[in-house]
Amino acid sequence: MCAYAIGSNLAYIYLRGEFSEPGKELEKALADAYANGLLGTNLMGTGYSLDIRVHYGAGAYICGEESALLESLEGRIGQPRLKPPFPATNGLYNKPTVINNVETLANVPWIVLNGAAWYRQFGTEKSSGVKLFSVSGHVKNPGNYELPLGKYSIQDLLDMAGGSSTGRPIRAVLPAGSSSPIIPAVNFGAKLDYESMAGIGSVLGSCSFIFMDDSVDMVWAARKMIRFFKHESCGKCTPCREGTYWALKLYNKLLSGEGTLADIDMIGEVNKQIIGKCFCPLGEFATSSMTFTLKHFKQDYIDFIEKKKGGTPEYKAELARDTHGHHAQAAH
Amino acid sequence: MLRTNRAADIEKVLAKYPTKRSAVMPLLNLAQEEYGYCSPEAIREVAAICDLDPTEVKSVVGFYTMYYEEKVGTTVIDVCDDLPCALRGADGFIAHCERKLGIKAGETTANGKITLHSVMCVAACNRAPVAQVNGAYRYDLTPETFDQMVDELQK
Repeated sequence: MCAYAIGSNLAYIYLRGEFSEPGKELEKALADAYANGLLGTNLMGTGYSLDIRVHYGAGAYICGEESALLESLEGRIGQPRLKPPFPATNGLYNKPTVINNVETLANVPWIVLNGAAWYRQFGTEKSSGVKLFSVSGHVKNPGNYELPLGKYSIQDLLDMAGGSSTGRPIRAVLPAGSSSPIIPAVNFGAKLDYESMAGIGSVLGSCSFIFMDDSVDMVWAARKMIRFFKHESCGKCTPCREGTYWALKLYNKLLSGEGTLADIDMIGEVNKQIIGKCFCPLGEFATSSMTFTLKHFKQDYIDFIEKKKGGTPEYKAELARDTHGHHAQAAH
Repeated sequence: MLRTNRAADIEKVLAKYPTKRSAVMPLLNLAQEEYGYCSPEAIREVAAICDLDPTEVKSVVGFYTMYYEEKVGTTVIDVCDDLPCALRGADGFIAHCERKLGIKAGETTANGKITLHSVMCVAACNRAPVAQVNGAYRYDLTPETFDQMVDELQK
C-alpha cells in the first residue's frame, strides 16, 4: 500500500543479517504473495506492478539509521549520509524513497480497513494507536506486548510481564533499550505514551523495556551499554568514534578496580564532548547511559570506587573477553 | 571459483538490484558459504563481479561483523553477552562455553570444528542465554544443553 501510494514499483525489505532463519519465513511469504498475484505485474488487473525484494544486513546496528541503511543497500559500508537532502527527495540510488519501520507499516492495513477514527480510539490525543512493547531483563515473562498507548503505566507493563523474575524488587528500567534515559522505579506510575514519558525525563522510543532488579550495579550496566555503542559506532564522526572509545576505557578502569573518584568526573567530561556533536543519533544515544545513570544512580559510582567493588574475578573475566572476544568491527 | 560453482546464485543476486555494487553484500554471503570466510581470493572475485576495486569490497568485509576476515570453524557459535542477555546470566554462560571448549571467545578449537564468538545482540533477549549456531537460534541455553550440543558437534 505504501508503494502504491507513492507510485513505486520496487520495494526492499532490509532485514538484519542475524535474521537468516526468520528471513526464510519472510521469503516464503513473499513467494506466496507472488504465486497469488499480490506481487509481480499488473496486480489484480489494476495495471500496477510491484516487486518486493529482501536485502540482508550483516551485523551493523547503525544500518537501522535510514541513510546508513540506504548506503548498505547500495553496497557500501553503513555510514549515515549528510541530511538534507532527505531520502524523500534523494534516497536509494538518488531516487525519491520512503523508508518505514515494519511496525509502522504493520498498522497500515488495519487503518485502511477500519479508518483513521477507529485507529485513533486507541491511545491519547498526542499518542494515538497501539505500540509493541518488547520486555526483557528481570521479568518472569519477557516478550512482546501490544498495548494501546496512554492506557497503562510502566508498573502495569511490569505486572503484565509477571513482575520480577528474581524475587528482588525492580530498581529501574530502560524504556527504549540502551539508548534511552534510565527510569528509577519511583517513576513507574508514568503512563506509556510519548508525553508522559517526556514528563519523567525519558522517552518511549523503541519501547524495548529492559527491567533491572536491585542487584544490578549501574556502573556495570552503563559499561555494558557503552561497550555496545563503542562496538557499533560506524567510525564516521570523531566525537562518537573517539568518545565511546575513551568512555569505555574509563568504565573498564572502574571495573578492573583501578578507578578513582576523579574518573567519575572524567566520564562526565568525555560525555560532554559527545553530546550534541555527533553526525547521527547513535553518538547521542551512547551518552544516555552515562548521563542518566550518573543523574539517578551516582551513589553507585561512588560506592563502586570507595567500597572497592571492581576487580572481582567475574569483572576481570568480562574485561578479558572484551579484549579478544569480539569479531571486531573496524572503524573506518 | 565462485563464478563457476555458484553461477546461478550469482545471476539471481545480480537480478535483485539495478546496480552491480548493491550485490556486494549478498555476494559476500555466497563467497563465505563457498570458502568458509571472505578470503582474499573471494574478495577479488566479488570485486570482479561487481566491477569494483578489491579494496572497496574489503572495506565492506571489515565493516560488517558477520563477514569473517579469517578462517573460522565448521560451526560458528555466536553468544550474545550484551546487557539484557547478561541480566539473564549470559556472562556466566559464555564463561562456561569458553571452559567447555577450552578456548577464549573469538578463538577456534584446535581441531577446527568450533568457533566461539561473543556478539552484540541477536534480538532474542527474552530467551537468553541465547546463541546462534551457524545462524540458527538456540534459545534458553544452560551449561547442560550447551555441553550436549558441543559433544554432538565434536563427534
